[in-house]
Amino acid sequence: MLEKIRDILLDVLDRDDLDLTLESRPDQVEEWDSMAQIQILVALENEFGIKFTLEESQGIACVGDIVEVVERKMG
Amino acid sequence: MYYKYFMKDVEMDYAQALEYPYDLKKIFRKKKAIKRVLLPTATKAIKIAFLGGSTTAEILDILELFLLKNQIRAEFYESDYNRYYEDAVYGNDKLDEFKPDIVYVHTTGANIQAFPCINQTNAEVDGLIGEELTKFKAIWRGLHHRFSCQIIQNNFEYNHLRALGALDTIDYRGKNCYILKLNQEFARLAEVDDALHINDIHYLSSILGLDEWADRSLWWSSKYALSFNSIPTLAHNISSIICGIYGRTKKCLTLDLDNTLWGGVVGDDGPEGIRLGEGDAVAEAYASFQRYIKLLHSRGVILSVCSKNDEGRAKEGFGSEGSVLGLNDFAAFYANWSPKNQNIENIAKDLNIGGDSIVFVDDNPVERALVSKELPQVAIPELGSDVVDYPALIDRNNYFHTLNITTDDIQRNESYRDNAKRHQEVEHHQNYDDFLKSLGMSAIINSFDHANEVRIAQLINKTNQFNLTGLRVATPQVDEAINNPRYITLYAKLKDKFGDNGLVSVVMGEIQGQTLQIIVWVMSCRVFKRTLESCVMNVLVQKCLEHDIRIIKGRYLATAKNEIVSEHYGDMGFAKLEGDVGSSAWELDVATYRDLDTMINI
Repeated sequence: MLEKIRDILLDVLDRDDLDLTLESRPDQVEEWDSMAQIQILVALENEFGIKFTLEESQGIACVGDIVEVVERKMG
Repeated sequence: MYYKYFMKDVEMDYAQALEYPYDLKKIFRKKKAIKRVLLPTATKAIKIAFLGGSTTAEILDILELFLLKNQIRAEFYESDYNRYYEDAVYGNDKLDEFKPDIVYVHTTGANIQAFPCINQTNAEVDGLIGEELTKFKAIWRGLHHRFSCQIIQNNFEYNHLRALGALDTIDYRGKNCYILKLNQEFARLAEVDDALHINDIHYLSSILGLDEWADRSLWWSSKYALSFNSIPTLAHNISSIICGIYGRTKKCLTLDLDNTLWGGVVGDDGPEGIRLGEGDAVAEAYASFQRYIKLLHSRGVILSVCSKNDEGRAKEGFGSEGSVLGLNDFAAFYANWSPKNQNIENIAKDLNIGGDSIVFVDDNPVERALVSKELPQVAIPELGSDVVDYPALIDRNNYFHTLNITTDDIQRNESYRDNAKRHQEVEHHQNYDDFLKSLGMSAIINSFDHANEVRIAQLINKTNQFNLTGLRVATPQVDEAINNPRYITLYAKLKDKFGDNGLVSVVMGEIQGQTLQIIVWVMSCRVFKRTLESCVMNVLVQKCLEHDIRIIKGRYLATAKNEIVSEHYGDMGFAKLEGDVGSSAWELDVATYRDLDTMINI
């Protein structure tokens, strides 16, 4: 799951040289601004066929949060 | 070499993601890569200002891709969040400096100032509509006044909630009733303003459905008035309007026959055996597709056939009782066993249009792949295999979006068909001059007038080949030149024994003392090689003599498509002053001019 999510993140951020871990946070990656954050969430929704609630999308602070929410929603 | 071909495939693949139905996953995940790949294909640069009533960042990114797919590279200005009114009405230095060619006003239902209250009277609600319109008129006036720009303005989508229930579109106090009225007013105002174009989000949101159109959490988290997945639909429509403004509209539908225009194979099943017309659901669906094509044809889209068939058998298909289209509807008919890319190249030659003006419609994915590989400039919808989808797959790609529909559009098909007849006529004559003489051509050449101003602007903007400078204009600029002593203007209409070609050539020059500087000279490709340019030149010199002008100056500026006129001024008797392949300057001493030979009576 982390692998798949990492691919999506790298595509949207247009970087292939990033070493993303569960702890990676937006403020550590220059391209990962608030606009990129929305793009990432939409790409995840389209990829996994899920829909984040407003609270879920607002609560995401690092890659680990994304993995956790997606895994929970995929059940 | 390998690398080059690889790039071409990627380019095609990315361009295809932007063809309806869109590949949403690819667009959003690969948007930066798509941009990188398409960027080198751009041949034109424009400036677009986004004035948003909600967040626009992603719309701008995706619009950029759709424009690049049409070889247009855009530079953008983006207003601060919800500053659209202030930017338009009071201006700001950054925007003034930017000087946009196009301003896109992205307002939506969320930007309507006030909706009717339940205790208001009908007259009070009319007053509200007046106030809302006053706001938008001030925006448009401000923009027109500050920039000579084209404005693209959203209308309003339906509200997804109906507080008045089923009465919401009926009762004058309903939000949706109010929105319908505003949209009607917008349409009315745009109809009389040539530089104002409505981006119909009311329609766009309807085809997607209001629940798809907007994403409520995206609204609350980042103030996007529509969902990301709706953005390609929106951006595509804006891009089509922009392509219309710059004359980058498709002109011709090239159609396959078996299992495209009818069900079955006419060569095997015979004209009685194909499924077309009444009586069975599939046959009716094909007839309905033909009716849609007939509608496109009647508004000026040229039709042609490209089919792997025996020509005689292929034509029998149109004699079948249920056929809506007739052989007369086609300006070119290629039914043979040659590769389709060759036939399409021949069609382009016959009709004197570029491959990028052609939409190729074929149910066979192998043929589509071949044509897309050999002729990447041809547009090819992914037709799928179900006839019920065919009309929408053409319609939603906005291939034929134009700014207005003129009588010339409506007569165009006759004109192209006449051209085909003229082609045959050439065969009967020993030499080309005899042929031209036999056409019995007559021209009407006049200065610009109001009756023809829309067509004049349209011709200038749509003509790519016989266009000396590539300059584009808006109708108000044409309007300004009418009866203006600063300009000498001419348009030409051409008739012959086969029919009326309509208004097909325009020349406009600016008077600078005793010199005339030609700024526009265009002629429709339909009347190439008919000596009309000589005829126009003779009249132009006549006009110059009347205005006591001694020198006529002309410039040739190369574009991707106007190589054919690089020596035009030389042919007209001008002397070359300077220049290279990309640009040249020419001059004519009026006193030395001798009338050019022409086969046209005035």
